[in-house]
Amino acid sequence: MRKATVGALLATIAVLLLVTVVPHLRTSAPAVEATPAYTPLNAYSSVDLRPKQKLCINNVPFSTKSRYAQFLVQGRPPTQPELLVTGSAPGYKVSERVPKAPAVNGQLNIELSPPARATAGGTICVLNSGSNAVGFLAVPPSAQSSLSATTLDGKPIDAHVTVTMLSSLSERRIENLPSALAHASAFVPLPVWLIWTLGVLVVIGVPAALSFSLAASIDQRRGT
Amino acid sequence: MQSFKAAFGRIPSPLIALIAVAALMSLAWNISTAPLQGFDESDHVGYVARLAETGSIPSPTTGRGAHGTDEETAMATLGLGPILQNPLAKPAWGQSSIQRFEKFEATLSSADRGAGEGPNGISKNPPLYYAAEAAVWKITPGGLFDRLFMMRLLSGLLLVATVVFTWLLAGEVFTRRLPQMVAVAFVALLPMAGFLGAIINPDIASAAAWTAFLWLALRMIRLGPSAQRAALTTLVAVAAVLTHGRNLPIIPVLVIALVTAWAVNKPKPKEILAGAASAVAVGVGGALIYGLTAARTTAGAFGGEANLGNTAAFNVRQLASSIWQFYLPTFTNMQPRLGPGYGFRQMFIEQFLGGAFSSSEVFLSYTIYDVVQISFAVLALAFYTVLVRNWRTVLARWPAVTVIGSAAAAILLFLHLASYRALLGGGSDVLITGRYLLPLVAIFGLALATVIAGLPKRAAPFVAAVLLGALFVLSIIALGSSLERFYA
Repeated sequence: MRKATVGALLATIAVLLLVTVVPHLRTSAPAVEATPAYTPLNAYSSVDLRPKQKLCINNVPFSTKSRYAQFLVQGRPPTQPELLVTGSAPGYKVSERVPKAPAVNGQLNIELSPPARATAGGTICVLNSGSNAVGFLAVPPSAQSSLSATTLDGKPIDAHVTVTMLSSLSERRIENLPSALAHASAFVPLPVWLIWTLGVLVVIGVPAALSFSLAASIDQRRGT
Repeated sequence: MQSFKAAFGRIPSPLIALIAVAALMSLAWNISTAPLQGFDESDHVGYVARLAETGSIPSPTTGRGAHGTDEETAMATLGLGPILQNPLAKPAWGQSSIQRFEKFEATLSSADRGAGEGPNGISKNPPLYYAAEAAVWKITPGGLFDRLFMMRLLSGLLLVATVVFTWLLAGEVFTRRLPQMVAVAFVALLPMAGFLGAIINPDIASAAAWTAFLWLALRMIRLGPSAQRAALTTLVAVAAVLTHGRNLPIIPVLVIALVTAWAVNKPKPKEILAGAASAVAVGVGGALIYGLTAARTTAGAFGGEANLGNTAAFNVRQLASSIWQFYLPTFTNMQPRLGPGYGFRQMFIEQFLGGAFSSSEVFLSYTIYDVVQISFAVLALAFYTVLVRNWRTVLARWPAVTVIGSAAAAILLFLHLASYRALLGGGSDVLITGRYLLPLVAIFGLALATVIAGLPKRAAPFVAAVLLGALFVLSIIALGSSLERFYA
């Protein structure tokens, strides 16, 4: 009876995990490294970058895995703007000419070489080297504050152009799990290995404890 | 040391395993939820910091800010403010960003950390939970994030306490171990309980207080209402009221419990007098503390959401109709319910049993909520069937049924009343949400355990195994959703 009950518990857990959690972990999503200027939820504005104009976003953290800068572009075509994108920070400078950057679903993903060392106070600049204006999605300052500020041709503007730093445009969630746990360790006084241990304890130790508790409770009358 | 070992040895091993489950789940939620992202967590922290650093409670209406300089700076420079409720935004977890914050934090004084003088809407809450958190704040070495982690651990301890009290409560209700274990496992595994046991918020303290109170009330009924037992039960009720204004319905339930205990045990008038006197003495002491702390703040009576100040045209029929429509379909001759389309499904299924986490932006798929709702309906039907089939046993246990039933009814009626009063003036905020059901968590566990107890002896362990297995997977999905929202 006890063995069969524990078997039923573990089988339920295994089947439900296989049906729900495992397929989700096998799906892919962009792997985020930083969101210095947030994509707004409901209040949008747009910053038009005309030919020869340059916008810069400061206070951008570059990690050693920051391979893409993702902007959101708005409005009518051109959907393939011509841009010169530069990333800079103390000891780091990268420049990428994008002849005809393809914007997919409004997302403009610029590939950059990551720095050798992580840094917090970097800058990303975008120069419009084409002949058409490009509308960048931005957050109106009244809607939401941002970690970074945007300048247009060196002058501060009243909106924050959104940018997301990614390590991968599409990564299986299971492969992104180590990064997620490492990020989670930033705000707690626990080392990453202990967080991994805790994860294992939750996934394996909790079913084990439940099994023990259930088995010990069958056919017992209440004592204490 | 030997007495500790002996005491520890007396704890039933199934309970020890379930305490470990609750502690692990709470710790996992602590890590997977970014700091200050729980329900109103930044304001709760502001209250604690102010109390810990200055000994005073922030004002609910005036002042230059609700948070200390360290908290405010963390929110601004590490993104913990703007990411609130925005699932597309992540906190600044980079080491260089955090080191920069820690460098700044090291320059701050105690006055800077306690600078959150208000306005802070949370300061309408009574101070008991915040005083306990303030003690943790004071004794924790290190910076803001160390303190936040440790303060969340206190909420975890309160979850563990809720688990232990549920065990004791279920022990008063059931004679077999299996239903007792199921009731407790439900509390330890429910995602919303784990989440609230991992953020800085007094809701988990309310759950612990209500569960302890119900256990003491049933124990008092079983053993007799001595002056000591009446005082202890009243003391826990007072602690609940000093924890949150929403716990005020515990007072009528206390009266019901005392009257039931006297009716069951038929003590001599002298004993009744002694029990009543000790309960009143503790109650008056609690009221004095309540009054004194309230007088020291500009918050007035610590009403919180329980403030029933709206005296617009109250109509009992309209309230009854409103409650009916909250749970059941609207009849054609009924006036539409006040406020937005919010009812049983949203509060019980999506926000409590299934759960919506962080500041409600971490939610599960609607398929999962549908499965939870169907499971709830099946279990509710099974619960009803068990009660009807065993009506003689239920009748024989009328004291426990009366106290537990009146607690559930009082909590729900109070929430509906507060919501109705808030909507009467034409407001759109229903004022109630799923987590407000947490004081009922042990009662939900008892209901599930009743179903298990009513099953044939051979089937009961298997049904329990399937239900607990499903609840564990629900917790894993919820935990993973939170981790993904903040850190992936």
